[in-house]
Amino acid sequence: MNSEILSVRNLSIAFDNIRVTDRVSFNISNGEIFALMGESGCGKSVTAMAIPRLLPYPSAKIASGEIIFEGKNLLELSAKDMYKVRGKRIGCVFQEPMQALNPVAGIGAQLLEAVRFLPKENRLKRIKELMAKAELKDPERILKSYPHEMSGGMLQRIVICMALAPKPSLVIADEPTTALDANIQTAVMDTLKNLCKSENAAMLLITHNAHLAAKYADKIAVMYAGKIAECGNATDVLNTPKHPYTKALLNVVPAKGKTLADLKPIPGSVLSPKDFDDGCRFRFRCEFAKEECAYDIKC
Amino acid sequence: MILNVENLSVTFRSKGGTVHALKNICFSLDEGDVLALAGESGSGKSTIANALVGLVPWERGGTYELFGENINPYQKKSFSFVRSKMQMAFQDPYSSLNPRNTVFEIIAAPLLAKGISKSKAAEKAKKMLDLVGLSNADLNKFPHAFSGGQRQRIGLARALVLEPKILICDEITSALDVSVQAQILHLLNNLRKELNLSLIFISHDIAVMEIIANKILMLKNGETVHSRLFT
Repeated sequence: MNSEILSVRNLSIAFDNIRVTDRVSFNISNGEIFALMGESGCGKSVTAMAIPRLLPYPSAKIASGEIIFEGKNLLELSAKDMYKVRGKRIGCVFQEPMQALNPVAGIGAQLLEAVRFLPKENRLKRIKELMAKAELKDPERILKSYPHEMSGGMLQRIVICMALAPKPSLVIADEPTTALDANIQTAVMDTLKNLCKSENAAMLLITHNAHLAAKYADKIAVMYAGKIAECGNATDVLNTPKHPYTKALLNVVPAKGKTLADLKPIPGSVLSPKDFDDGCRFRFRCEFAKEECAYDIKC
Repeated sequence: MILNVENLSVTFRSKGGTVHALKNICFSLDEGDVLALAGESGSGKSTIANALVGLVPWERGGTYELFGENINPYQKKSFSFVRSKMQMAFQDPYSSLNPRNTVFEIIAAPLLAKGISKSKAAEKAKKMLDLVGLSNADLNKFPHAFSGGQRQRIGLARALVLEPKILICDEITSALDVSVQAQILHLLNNLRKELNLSLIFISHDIAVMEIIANKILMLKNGETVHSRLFT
């Protein structure tokens, strides 16, 4: 049985005293791919960025909960100790690779920065090993290039190499392929998955794309309006969704053989954190909503 | 046939060399058609859209027929007729709306430029907002007050305010969530029926194209690699 490397327990995050996530809990095991799925504004990225403590403090505050990573509560670590975790034990891959890299620094310099903790003689070897695994051909040329000389797909592969260079045990991938073409998305996701597997790193995949979650994730948590609506094995959540929001989310995904009539848009938009109450937060958009959903959460 | 394009070629010349962005592209559009332009980034999809509305120069040798009129693509003024029949909605709902203009100013700008009075433009703008599913109260708000999907609706209202017959949608759902994407696809389909529109739908998502389009033109490196009708 795989051991747990990350356990998020009852995590509530507030921005300027308004709670945006509410008692979020999930566990990620060693080497597992865990997808956090939901629409924009549901709190996926906020939850993910709270793990390496990358939220914009002081406006963001952890109202409650703990984040246990490799046996330590990250929320109790000093800023100095956090440096030993962030980037080293937890790698991050962001949505927009062009913004994740420094435009005035060479690719080689940026990759070398990611392996600065290794002995000097091993650094280049480690970078080239990862570049080969990430199917980046002609590494010598790439190392001498600048970000603007690379395509989006190549840049994202470079960011993936940077995230995995320090051999982290967890990689947080926040919509890693949303900014890329559909045909490159699969190739980049394959690279990310294969690299994580070969480096034995777990992955927290943030996505709004059910296809992506279905293809790559072992476990899925569906998030809505700051709360986890449903969590379980990927096949169970996707094949037999229990929460009406999960069902609604799966109904809007375009797929081969579907017609426009099969796409059933979810009416309205995600509830603003200012309007959160104790009832089911999906009830305003839910086709199964009843009166008691306003005070009793049954789903 | 409402649109027929033959041998559309576009070449960009710079100090670095010459790029043949489009090579002898031919396609046509019948009334009510939804033509999908598919292909990866850099294949020339958006260049076709830009060439159709005169935003990039055509190479010699191409012919362009719109609603029975022969358009001279080498003369700038011939595109004023094109723009009365064909309008564009853009990919990025955040950068395609002027952040300093109100929704009214954005939607009414094409009308005011045509010399239509402000009161009539306001009336028309309200009608357009209603058509795309926004309320009249939104007229005096600024773009930052809206979500991505709502901004895309404002972009659609602006494109449709001149009552074009052909709407070019340049990756209008690419920057949106799947749930908002479904709302916009339904909206487009309703608008198409209500306003008797024909669409040129640019995308790189085959699943989305299969859902909305009845014709597809697949591009690679500026050339047509596949062209067919969906059944």
